[in-house]
Amino acid sequence: MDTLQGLLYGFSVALQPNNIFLVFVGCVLGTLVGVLPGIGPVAAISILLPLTFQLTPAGSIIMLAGIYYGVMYGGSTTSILVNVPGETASVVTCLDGYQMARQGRAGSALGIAAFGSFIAGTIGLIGLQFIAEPLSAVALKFGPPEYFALILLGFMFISYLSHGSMLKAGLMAFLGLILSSVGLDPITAQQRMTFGVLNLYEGLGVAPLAMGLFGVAEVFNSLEKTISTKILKVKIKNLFPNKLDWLQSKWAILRGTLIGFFLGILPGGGPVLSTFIAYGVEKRVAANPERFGKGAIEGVASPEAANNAATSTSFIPLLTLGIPPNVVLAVLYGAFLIHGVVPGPLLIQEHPDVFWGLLGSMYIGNVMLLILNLPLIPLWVQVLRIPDRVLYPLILLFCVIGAYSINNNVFDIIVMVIFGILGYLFKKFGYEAAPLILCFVLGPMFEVNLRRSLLISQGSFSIFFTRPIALTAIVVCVVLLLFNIYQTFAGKSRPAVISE
Amino acid sequence: MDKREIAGGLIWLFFAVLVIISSLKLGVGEFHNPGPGFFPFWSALCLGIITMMLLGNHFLKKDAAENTSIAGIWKTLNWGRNVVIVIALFIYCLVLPILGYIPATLGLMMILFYTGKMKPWAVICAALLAVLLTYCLFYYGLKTPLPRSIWPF
Repeated sequence: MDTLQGLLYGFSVALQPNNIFLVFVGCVLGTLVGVLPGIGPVAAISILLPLTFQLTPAGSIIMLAGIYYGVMYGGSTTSILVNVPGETASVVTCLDGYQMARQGRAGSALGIAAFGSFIAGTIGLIGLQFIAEPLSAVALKFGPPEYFALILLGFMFISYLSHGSMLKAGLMAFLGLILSSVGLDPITAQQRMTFGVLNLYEGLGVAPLAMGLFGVAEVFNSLEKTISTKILKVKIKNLFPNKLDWLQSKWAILRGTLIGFFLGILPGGGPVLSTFIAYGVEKRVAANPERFGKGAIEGVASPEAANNAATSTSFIPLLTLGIPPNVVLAVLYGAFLIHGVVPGPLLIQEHPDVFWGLLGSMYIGNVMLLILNLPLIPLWVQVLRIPDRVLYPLILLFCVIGAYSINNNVFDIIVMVIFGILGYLFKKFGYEAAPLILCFVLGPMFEVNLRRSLLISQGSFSIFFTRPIALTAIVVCVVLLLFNIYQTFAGKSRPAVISE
Repeated sequence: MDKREIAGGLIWLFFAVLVIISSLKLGVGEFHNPGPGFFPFWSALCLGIITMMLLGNHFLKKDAAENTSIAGIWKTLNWGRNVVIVIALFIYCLVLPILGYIPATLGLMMILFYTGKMKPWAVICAALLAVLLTYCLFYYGLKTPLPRSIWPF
């Protein structure tokens, strides 16, 4: 099937009434999650995952992906109107977006964020469409050493780019690997660290773990604070950017798109890193950089474009190599597996409805979000007025139902609560949960490929240095490690990016 | 001296040692034939090494943090509410298979709303509404099996 044929097939899947409805539900829920500060896409996808159990694999992935890119659209609304980012990738939008709102230009800010997101998201999807198939063909030639090295590279990037200490991020990564080995050994089927508990034979579930670490922990963190959010009382008018807005933003949108497009593919990159770099580049190339931080429209257009381009292209390594490049897609990877679909080079061949249907739905979702977001902004603003004492108990209730419904087992609720407590303590002690969840999801694949490689090479590690792709990935890992050691001794800071 | 870092480090070291012992019992195997304990062993060893590096880093830092206590993290925060919620969630897990979804969840939601300092009538109404709406949505709408009580009704 060639690319255009595939896309037409994808539209035929995505345009089925039930799938259109699921795109809509995903986009609305995603925007809602993006608007609400505190609950990010990881928690949202893991909490809402059980809603998809009765759906077809294509339908559930379509809805969950809709939540992911919907969050990116929704996050900018609170950044601009409340100066509180709805999720991490919208942090940078606060800098100029809120200032624009204070100057009575909230409409322009919201409008350019929406249109910039749409343009960049669409370009990202075109890239996904044309790169995925050739990359899948190349990936079919990968063996265990290549997979091992690429996953290792992903771990290195995610640790390098984590907020705070790289050592702590590395520690969390190894903790994730240890937790992933609980259950039956993938090769010998021997019990490992199950302590005789029957429920642990299949290991810890990714959904209760993610819900606990990101959903429940966040609820605990929020409930002990008393922060009131003041919503800016402005009349939002002129949501369609005018000629001057477009003139000022067009190159910013293009630059942001390119930055997001390439960084989205990198492990550990993704929307969050893209927004910071896009903002930095925009400020550097601007004729009057002093305008940034005071309401420069480019400061909204570029990060939002980068955000959405990266969201689209970050699906490339997941769908073609089976390696999720960031935490959100790691949870989505778990969702794929729960539905019996294995992302990777054989996905296009074995599940063309899932791959092309997802792609088609993302084009449709992009249009839906543009249409939904702008007129519904007053509604999203009202959502922000829901008091925390009502909102957080409801979120906990959804978490509890979600955890139970995975296996109809109370044990999963217990796992979720325990990891909720751990996630809360991790935050207090300065540890980030993102490397843990990524390594937990990739741990089994990492272990199997390592052990297979060693079996093939009779125990010799030279197998990783004699194959070009594996060697390249390992060299990059070593360079990153040495660079970080140098920065530590030279007293310089890394680009501190929160990777969730 | 940041006591949080020291406490964290000691806990990680203890955990790493436990996993290493458990892995050795499983059998680490050899490089040409890794055993089931191979992966957790090396992961725990790396975790232990990183922990020691963190502790070493902390002690060698010239601009050491002031004497920060562990209790100081929660000084200005309303942590009591979280304690109540955690206890309520564990009790919920115990009674859920006995009482079934509606009564157990009603109790849980009443506690959760009550900790938010809502008025008693609001607590009861909100809890009832939340339970009934979620029951209808998940059980009837999404066909999600929810726990039933041990009694036939």
